[in-house]
Amino acid sequence: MGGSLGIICCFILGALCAWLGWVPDYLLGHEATVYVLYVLMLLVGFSIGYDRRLGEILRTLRPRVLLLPLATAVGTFAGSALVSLFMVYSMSECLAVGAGFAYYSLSSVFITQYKGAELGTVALMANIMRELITLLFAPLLVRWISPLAPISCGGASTMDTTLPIITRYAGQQWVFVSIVHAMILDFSVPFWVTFFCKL
Amino acid sequence: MFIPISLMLAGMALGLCLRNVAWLAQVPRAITPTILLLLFVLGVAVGGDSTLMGNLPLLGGRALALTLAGVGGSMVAVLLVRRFFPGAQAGRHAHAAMPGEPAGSPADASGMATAFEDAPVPPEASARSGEEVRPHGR
Repeated sequence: MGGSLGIICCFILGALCAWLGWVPDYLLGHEATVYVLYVLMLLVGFSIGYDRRLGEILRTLRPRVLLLPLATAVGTFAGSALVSLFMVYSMSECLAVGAGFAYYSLSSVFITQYKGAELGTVALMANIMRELITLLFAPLLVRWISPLAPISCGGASTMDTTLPIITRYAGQQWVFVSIVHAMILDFSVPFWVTFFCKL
Repeated sequence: MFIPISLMLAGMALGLCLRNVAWLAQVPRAITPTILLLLFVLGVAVGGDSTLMGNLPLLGGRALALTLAGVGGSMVAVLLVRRFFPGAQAGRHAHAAMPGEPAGSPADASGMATAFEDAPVPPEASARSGEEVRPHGR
């Protein structure tokens, strides 16, 4: 929970600084976010490649585990497509926001680049909300639906920020399912978001 | 267009090649500060845009609608696939959440067998190491 709050604080601090005019003009465009994103992508790729457990996890994986990230993706897309009928945004735009799977930093920069700052901001808020919902409602999701529910709800965040809470309420036996779920969604976010933005 | 994706793939290749360089294990630690910086810069981009700032409550409402729709869809999908995962019924493993539940209990075994043919790490240890995978925000 503390990590998420820090992230929201950083965002609010940035917005406040710019709003009060404390930030030099050359930082105001969206160029800066793109370069920071490049650094982030390189670092994320490196940490995936460097991690020895990746190969180990992939070798011992049963195909059945892949059903859960698949269900998360299909379910999220179906829900986003349905709600797009009642929204001002097109179906592909709603799908692009949904395809962030709580991976807010990455998806919002992509969407800002392709679709403009307004949808990018909606994507940022929507995906932060998805992570917060997972953190807040994990116990209820386990009781009402399934131990798999908080994992699916957490999307791409279930191997880092929401893993402790999932372990706590769903049980330790779901840790591997949770990590594999996040790895697959994590990897797929840039592809889905670019795909839906270009439709 | 595909620069970010190529950078991620390049990073993966680099990480794979440099696995034996021990001090590079510190590199993933830079992810959290980078994400915080990215969020700050995103905040600056939003804060500097007065039309965006004026519409923030409206955009927040739309974001909430989209989130609830996405989560709702995922939950329906979970209801459809949970029968393929032994032990994934509602509330069934609520007890396993209690702190101090012994690792390797029957409940553990059933869940582990669902995911892996042979679990390489005992659940207790994996839960810990799992938290250290990439302890950063998204």
